[in-house]
Amino acid sequence: MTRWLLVGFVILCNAWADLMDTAGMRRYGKVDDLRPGGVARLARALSRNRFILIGLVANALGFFALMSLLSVANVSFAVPATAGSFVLETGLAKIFLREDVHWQRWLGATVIACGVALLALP
Amino acid sequence: MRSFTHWNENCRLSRVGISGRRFGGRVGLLALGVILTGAAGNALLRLGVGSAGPILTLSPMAYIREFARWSVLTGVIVLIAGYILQLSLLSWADLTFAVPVTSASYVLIPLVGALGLHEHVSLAHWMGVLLILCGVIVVGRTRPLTPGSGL
Repeated sequence: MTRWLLVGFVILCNAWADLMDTAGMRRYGKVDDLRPGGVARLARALSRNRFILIGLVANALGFFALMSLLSVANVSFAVPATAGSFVLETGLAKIFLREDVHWQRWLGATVIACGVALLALP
Repeated sequence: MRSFTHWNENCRLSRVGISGRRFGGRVGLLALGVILTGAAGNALLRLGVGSAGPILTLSPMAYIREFARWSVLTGVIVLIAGYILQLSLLSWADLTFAVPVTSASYVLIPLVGALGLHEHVSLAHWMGVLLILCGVIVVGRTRPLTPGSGL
């Protein structure tokens, strides 16, 4: 029971964090310099981006919940089980980010979610 | 007429900076980085916290103490690097493209679990791995960045 509560919490945190991160990066623009100086500039700019900051909080909460989950479950269960957020994220991206979700993406997300469900089997 | 419409659409997309059909180059490299760091970071975390016993508390100190373990600290550093790569990927691709494609790391995790951490991986798990690969291929054939993305 504790395991599944943690899985649900990690899924919600991950979905919210990814949504906020994507919204933040849409405002920042494309990242084309991943050298140390470029990453430092990116970090400075993103520290003033409220979407990224909200995403960081959600990521941090999800991370600590994942640590708890990994302390009571195998990695081959814990990580795939928390990927149940695919379909949720696809729906959220369609509604809030207004992404043009092609039927192939729905199909792919559904097939992946089925695969993840199999991985989550004991 | 159909081919002219298709050509015209491609020209429009390249003018507005929308990435072309199928992923490769920069988007592919970023996705690969996210996949590898995700798998390695989570395996290192499990290696560290798995030997510590259950951590089921709301006290932050219990989590902070775990950072003294080299495998947890290394796992966190690898995951932070992966986070930076993921933010970069999200600047070049839709969320509904990036998340399913980078789920290929779930294929690596049972492999790491079975080979590195000696965890049992059943036939159902391997079937799951196969389904995930099929889903990644289906999503990978769509255009990474579509017009109209935004909040």
